[in-house]
Amino acid sequence: MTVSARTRQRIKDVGLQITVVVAVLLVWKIWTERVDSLYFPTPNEVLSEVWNGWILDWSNTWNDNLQPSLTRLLAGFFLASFFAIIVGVAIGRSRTLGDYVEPIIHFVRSIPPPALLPLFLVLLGIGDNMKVVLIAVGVFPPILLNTIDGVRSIDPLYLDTAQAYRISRTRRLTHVVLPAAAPKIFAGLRISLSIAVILMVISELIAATNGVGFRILQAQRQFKMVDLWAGLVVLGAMGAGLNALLALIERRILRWRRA
Amino acid sequence: MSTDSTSNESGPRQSLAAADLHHVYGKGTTEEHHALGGITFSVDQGEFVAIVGPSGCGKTTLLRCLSGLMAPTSGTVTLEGTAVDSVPKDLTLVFQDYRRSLYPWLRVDANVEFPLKHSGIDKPERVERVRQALDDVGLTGHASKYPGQLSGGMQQRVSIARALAYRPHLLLMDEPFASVDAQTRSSLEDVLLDVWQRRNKTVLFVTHDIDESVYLADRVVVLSNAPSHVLAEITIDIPRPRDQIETKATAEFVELRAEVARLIRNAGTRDHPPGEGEA
Repeated sequence: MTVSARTRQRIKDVGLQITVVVAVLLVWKIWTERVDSLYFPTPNEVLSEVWNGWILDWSNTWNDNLQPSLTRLLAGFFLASFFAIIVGVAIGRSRTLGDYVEPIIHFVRSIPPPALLPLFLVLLGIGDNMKVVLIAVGVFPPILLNTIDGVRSIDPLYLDTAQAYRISRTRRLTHVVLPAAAPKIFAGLRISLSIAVILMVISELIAATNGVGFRILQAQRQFKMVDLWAGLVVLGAMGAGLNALLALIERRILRWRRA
Repeated sequence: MSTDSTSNESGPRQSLAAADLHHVYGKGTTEEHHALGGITFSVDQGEFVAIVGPSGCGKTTLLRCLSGLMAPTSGTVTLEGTAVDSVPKDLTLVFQDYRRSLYPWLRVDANVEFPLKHSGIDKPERVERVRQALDDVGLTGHASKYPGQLSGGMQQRVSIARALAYRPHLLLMDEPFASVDAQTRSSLEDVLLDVWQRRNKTVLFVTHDIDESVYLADRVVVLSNAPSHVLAEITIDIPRPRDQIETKATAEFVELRAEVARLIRNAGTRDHPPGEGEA
């Protein structure tokens, strides 16, 4: 395909996507105007609340809702990623270690993370620590399992080559094993990011005094349906934004795969 | 066959020597396989030696033992007089499977630079070595591509360049041209002969291709079936520079290749069915 043909195709794709969004909004608008329900506000009302309540009041929004939520989410996500990758590489490189700990991993992984919330409330209270730990524990297994899988499926010749050039053991880990396993590690990170958003919201619905989840819960308690819907829209945008950011980083680091 | 070339003080200095190498896989199990059955030979500095043998004779096992990637069950390997127990710094390997031996996440120049970066050579020196090595194998202008963007033959050139830039005294090559097409193969053979002569290397080249061994080498070491030992060492005194078409048409070449072929055929009809094991 020539470059201009590819560009034209891209424009066509984006055009179609926009059309679909507009169509969905239109259906939503017509439907909500017709039923005129308190529970289903029109898109105009919701979007103007997003604009007035969130964007125009940015400093409050940021300090009370977005910043606390993002901090919890990213702290949990990075904490889990860091340890899951280290532990995953260790398990992936050692058959024996894997044989010993894998049953435990699969058991822990089978517990739905939200079910751990009551336990963490008792152990860690209602503060930020509890939320960060909940998120970290919940996103740990997918990163860990993908890292193990990625490390195990590395071609042995990569390592023989490194050994033939007397690359030290540590450098083999950081410069051969990690990049070779990176595609699978990123697959794990992508799954984990969605889980992190879910756990962040859940933890904020149960015990919080700020955050996006807290604001949604408040709107519900005060029966402000428009605010509630606006909160959902913001949450969606936040999740999509984070995913896009991760995809961007992944594309950059795994650039060689498209070569 | 000479087994004691160390005492030969007036001749060229010895590079690699293998003495009575044995290797048994899965010793004591029902899967026990005696791959190497007492291999003894040596390579002099500056020499180009080819090892040929019937398929499944343990050529790859031999190379792994010679390079120090694997310890033989018994026997010794010495490089320039020092016993080999892990991969020595004056030796490196070029593998058959370039697709899995180059790192796909590094560009061509970074692949070539990779071993240098980790052996404490400073940046300007590294850059110069990479440039020269890529130039030697005819890849100038492809430095910033990823291996995935190159053809098989070009990828194998990259792995040869990587070995050259590392500047080992001895280059071990494990059927390096076995997975490229015939034309690419001829041109890679000539690239190799060219850099071997210009850069004054010692090469030990393992192949299953008789023509290739006779065309490239000063000496061909013929292995028997597993458990393999050295059947014969044939000196190839065809003058250099050699030419893919002219040399291969000479009576000398035809005779030598027939001699090697006969040795291998007889080896192949001995105790094991041929065509087993090695892919």
